[in-house]
Amino acid sequence: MSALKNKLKKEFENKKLSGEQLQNLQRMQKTSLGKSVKNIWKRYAIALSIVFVMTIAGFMTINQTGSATVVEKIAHQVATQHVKLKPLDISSDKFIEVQSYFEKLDFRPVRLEQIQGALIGGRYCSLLGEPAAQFRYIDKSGNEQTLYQAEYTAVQFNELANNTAPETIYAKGVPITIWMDKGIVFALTQ
Amino acid sequence: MDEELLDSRHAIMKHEFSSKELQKLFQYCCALTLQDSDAYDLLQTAMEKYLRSQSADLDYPLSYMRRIIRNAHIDQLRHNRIIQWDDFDESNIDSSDIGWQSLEQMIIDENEIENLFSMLSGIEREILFLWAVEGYSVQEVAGHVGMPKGTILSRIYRMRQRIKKSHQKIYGNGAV
Repeated sequence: MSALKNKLKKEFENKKLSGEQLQNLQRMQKTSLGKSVKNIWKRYAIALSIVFVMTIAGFMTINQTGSATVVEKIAHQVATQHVKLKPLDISSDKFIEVQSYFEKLDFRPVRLEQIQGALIGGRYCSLLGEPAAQFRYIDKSGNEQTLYQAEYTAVQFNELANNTAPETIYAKGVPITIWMDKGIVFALTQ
Repeated sequence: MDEELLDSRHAIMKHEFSSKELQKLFQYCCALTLQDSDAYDLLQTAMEKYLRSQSADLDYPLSYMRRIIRNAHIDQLRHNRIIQWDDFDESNIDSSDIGWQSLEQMIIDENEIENLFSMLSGIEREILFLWAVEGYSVQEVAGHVGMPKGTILSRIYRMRQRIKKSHQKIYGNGAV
């Protein structure tokens, strides 16, 4: 005679899978779980490849942007804004009126005599993060021209320190002339 | 949908049961089915379900597997329409007669165990297995089998009554 609990424990623990049954169950596990692990590694490999490609692409983009000159950066920004013109803040054909409107700037925008088109107004904008004035003109053919003026800062426009001679380059198919004069950076679309 | 694609979409790191764990699961199956051959069939069915399942309790794989075994066993019983459920009326029972203590006190003859197993239902053998082999409390058994604690106490009480009767038949009224 023995205690029920001990007897039951002994009885249950005497029940054993045969060697063949045990092997069969182990084989089932190995086949199925091996496949799952393989699939997990496959997914990790794909994910890592995507991250790798995106990182390389990111570096290439940064390097391309980083290697652009100040003139190229200005041209790209001006062309973008010129292609998608935003509404004017002030509409006027009188330069004094438009000039007065830009009173919040830390410099006084100047009139450029060489511009042939008729002034139609202006709006606040920026050039490489610096506050700027945008003047808008219409030439005899009805094409709009934009002139940007921003205060020269060595941090943003250092490369233009000696660019007193206008330099014309193309961005988005738009010819843009850029120069610096008397502490003001100019960008003019043709 | 392609089976491999389904596997790769839901693949998770599942626990691989050791020989020792498989033996323990087999013992649990034996408690439910009584017959060794039925126990192996049940374990195999449950293993297939476990390997196909899209989720798994990674912290307690043995408990998780026991739940799968239990559900598979109930499915089989339902299919064969031999499952029984009963309610427990605690008011009819002396509180000293319920719980593990009542079974702990029982002494059994070596030759009686087979008779005892055949006399009990699958759920009753399962309760005894969880108590004697796994060391579960009444509350833990209730949690595992998904029944109220009172129902488990009822089972224990009835088991004790039956074992006592069987004992008395063999050894007379003085036996426990």
